[in-house]
Amino acid sequence: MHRERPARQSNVTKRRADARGRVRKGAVAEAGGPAGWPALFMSSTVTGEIARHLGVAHYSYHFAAAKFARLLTRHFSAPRMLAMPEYYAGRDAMPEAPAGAWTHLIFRSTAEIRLLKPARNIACFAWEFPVLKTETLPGEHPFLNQAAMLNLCDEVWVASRFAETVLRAHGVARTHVVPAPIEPPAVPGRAEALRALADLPVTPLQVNFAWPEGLQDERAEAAILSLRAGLRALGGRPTIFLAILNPEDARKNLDALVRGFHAHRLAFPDSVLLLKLLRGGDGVTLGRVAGSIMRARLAGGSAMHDTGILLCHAYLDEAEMAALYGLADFFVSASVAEGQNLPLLEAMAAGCVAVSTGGTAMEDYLDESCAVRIGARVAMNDDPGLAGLVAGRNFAVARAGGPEVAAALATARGLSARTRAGMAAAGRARVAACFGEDAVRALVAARLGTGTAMAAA
Amino acid sequence: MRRRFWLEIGPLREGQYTGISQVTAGLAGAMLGDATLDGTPLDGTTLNGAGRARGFFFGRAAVPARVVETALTRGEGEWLEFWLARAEPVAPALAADETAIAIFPNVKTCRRGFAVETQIVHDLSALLTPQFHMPETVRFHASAMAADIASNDLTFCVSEATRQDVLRYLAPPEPGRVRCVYPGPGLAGAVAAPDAPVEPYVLVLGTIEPRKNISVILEFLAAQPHVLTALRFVFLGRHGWGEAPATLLARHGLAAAAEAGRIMFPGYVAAAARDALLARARLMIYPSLFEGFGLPVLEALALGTPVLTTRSSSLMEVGGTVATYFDPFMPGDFGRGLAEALRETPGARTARAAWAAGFSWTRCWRDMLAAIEALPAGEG
Repeated sequence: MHRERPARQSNVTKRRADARGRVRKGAVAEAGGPAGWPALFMSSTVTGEIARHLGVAHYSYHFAAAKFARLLTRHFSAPRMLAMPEYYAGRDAMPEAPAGAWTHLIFRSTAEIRLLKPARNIACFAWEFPVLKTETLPGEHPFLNQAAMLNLCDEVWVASRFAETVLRAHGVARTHVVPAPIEPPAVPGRAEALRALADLPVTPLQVNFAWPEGLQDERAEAAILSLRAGLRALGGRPTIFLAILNPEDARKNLDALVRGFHAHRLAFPDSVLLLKLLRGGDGVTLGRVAGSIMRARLAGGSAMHDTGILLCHAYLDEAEMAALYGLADFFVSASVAEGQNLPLLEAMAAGCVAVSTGGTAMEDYLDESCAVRIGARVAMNDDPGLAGLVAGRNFAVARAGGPEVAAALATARGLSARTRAGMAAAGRARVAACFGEDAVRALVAARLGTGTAMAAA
Repeated sequence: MRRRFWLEIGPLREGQYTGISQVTAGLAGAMLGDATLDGTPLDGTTLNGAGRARGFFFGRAAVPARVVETALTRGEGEWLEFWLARAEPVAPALAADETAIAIFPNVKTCRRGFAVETQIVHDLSALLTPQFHMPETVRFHASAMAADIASNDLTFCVSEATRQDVLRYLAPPEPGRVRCVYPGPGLAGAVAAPDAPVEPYVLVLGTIEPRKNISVILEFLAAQPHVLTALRFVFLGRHGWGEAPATLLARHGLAAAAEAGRIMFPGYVAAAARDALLARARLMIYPSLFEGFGLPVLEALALGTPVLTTRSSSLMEVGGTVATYFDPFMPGDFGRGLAEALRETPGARTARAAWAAGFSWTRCWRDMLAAIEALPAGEG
C-alpha cells in the first residue's frame, strides 16, 4: 500500500499554540456588561491549554463552558474566568468587579464545586445516569456526596430532561434545563473540507492482542499516513461516518462501535469510519492512542485490522472541526449514556445525519425524522468504568452491541439521497429549536432574570 | 459544679512551632496566664471563686502545667515528645464534681469523651484546595472534619472566612454553634532595636510550598532584576513540599542572583531570630493563595512592618486597612502592589501596630471562654 506521511507534523504544534492563545484571551475577559443583568463569573474544571486536557476527567466541561461564555458575552455580559473562586471571601476581595448582583456559573464535577461566596452560584452539571450519590459514609470525603454538593449552589442547570428528573428525584430540587448552546459550524463543501484536512495524520485500525504494548504502539505509529492517502487507498468516493470520542470513556461503547463498523464493512466496503480520538496528556502520540489505549477498550480476541477505520488524534481548531463535519455523511454514536453529546449535536447542526443510540440526553432531540436509531438492550450495568457507579448503587443502562450498530449503519446506507437530505434538514432544525442561540438565550435570560429579582428582593 | 478546661496539646510536639502548633502555644499561654483558672493539681481542693480549672492532656495522659510551660519556653516540641514518651498513661481525671470541657486545637483525638467538646478549625484548605496538599493530608482531614464538627458543642474558627466555609460546605446541624475567634500573634518577646543600620531587605515569610505562592515573587524578580540591586529578598521558612528552592530559582533563571546573595533561602530560624528579621525588614510579603488566618501578616503588623499580601480568604480580616494587597491572578499587579507597599507614610508604622493590638491571645481565650460559658445550662 502506498503510504504518505503527513507533510508537516509541525502543523499540529501550530494548532496547539493557536488554541493556547485563544484560551488565554478568553480567560482575561472581564465581568460586567449591560445594566439589568448580573456581573457574570465562571469557573471550570479545566483551565489553561485545553489540548493537553482532552480526554482527561471532566474535560468536556471546558467545551460547555466555552459555549456558554460566547453566548453570555454576546447577549448578557462577558464572564470573568476564575481559577479559584474559593479565594474570594467577600466582595472586597475583588474591588475592581462591578457593583450589583454577581452570578457564578460553575462548570465542574460535583466534588470540584467551589462557591464564589458573594455571588449567586449556579452549578452547570452534566449527568447521564439514573442514580446520584446522596449520602456520606463514615470516613468518606464529604465532597463525594453529589446531592449535597449540588445543593450548596443556589440552582443547578442541566442539559437534559433526563438529568432534571434524576436530580429532582434525588433531592436536588432547584434543577432547571439550560443546555449548552450549539452554534452551527461554518461547514465547507466536501472537496474544500478534504483539502483542509488532507494532511491530517491518521492510522488505520490495527490491533493485535498478542502483541506487547510497545509493539502495538509502534505498529500504529508506523502505519500513520495522511487522511488524503488513507481515503485514496480505499478508492472511489467512500461514504464517511464520523465519530468523536475519548477512547477511555466507558460511556462511548467503543467496542460495539468498532466491531459493528468492522462487520458493516463486509457488506459495505466503501464505508469509512473516521474516528477522532480525544486523548490529551504529555507524550501521548497517535500511535499510543490508536494502539494500546484503543486496544485496552476493546474486548479480547485475536486481531482486528481494518483500513476502513481511520483513527486520528490531532487537536483541530474550529475551522478544522467544521471541515471534519463537512467531510462526513453521517455521525455515529453508540453511547450508553450522554449528558448532552456536544459532538453529535454539532454534527447535526452541520448537516450530518445522526446514527445513534437514544436514551438519556438524546431522548430530548433524536427521533426517526432526523436520526437512524441504534437499537439497544436494557440491562443492569456491568461496566466498572461508568462514572454513574460513584453513586454507590448499580443501575440499568441501554447498551447497543456490535450487531445493533451494524444494523443501523446498514439502514443508514440504505437511505435514499432525498430521505437523507430531509433527515439532515430536520436535524439542523431540531438543534436550532432546542439548542440554538435564541433558544438557549431565552432560557438563560429567564434564569438570570429570576436571580436578579431574587437578589433585589 | 466546677468546670475544668482541658486543652489537647498534641500540636505542641511539633519540632518547630508554626501555624497550628503556634495557635496551640498561644492558647496554652493564655490559659496559663488566666488568673481566673485554678491550676491546682487534679485532686486539688482549692478553687477560685469562678469555679474554673485548667488541664492539659495528650492522648490518655494528663500533662502537668509545668511541663507545658517548659515546652512553651523552649518553643519546640522535641523535649515535650521526650517527656510524653515516659508519661504515665493516666486518662484525664474526669472528677465527679467537675464538668470536663475539652478544647481540641486541631483534629479531634476522641469524640464525645468529654462532657463538652470544642474544637478550633483553622481552615478547610485540605478540602477546598486539595491541589496544595499531599494526598495523605487530604485523606486525613477529609475523613475526620465533618464528623468532628458534627460532634462539637462549639466550633471555633480562626477567621470569619473559615467560619463561612464551615457553614457553607459542611452544613453543621446548629450553625449558631460555629463561632469566629481570632488568634493573637506568636511573637517570642520584645524585639531589640538594631544596633547598626541594616541593608534594606524584603522578607517573605512562610513554609515553602505551592499554596504560599512564592512563584509570583520570583516571576516578578526574573522580569525586573533591577529590583534586586536595591532590595535583598529573603524567603524565610522551611521547605514543606513541592519544588525546592534551588529548583524554583533555576526555573526562574535566578540562580545567579541567589549566588550573589540577593535572594536568600535560609530555611527555618528560631522564633526570636525570625522576629528580629521581621522587625527590621523593609517589607513583609505574604503572597498566599489560601489561608485560614495568616499569622505572619499579624506578626509583621504587630512589629510595625509594612505588609504586602493577597486578598485571599481570611487575609483581609487580618490585614484590614493597614496592609497593602495585590491580585495574584492579575498579571502585573504584584509589581503595582510592591511599589505601593514600599511607599511608607508618616504614622503608618504606629497605625499597623495599633491595628494588630486588637488581636491577642488573651482576647482569643476570653472570647472562647465566654462562648463556652454561654452554652445552655448543663453543657458549659
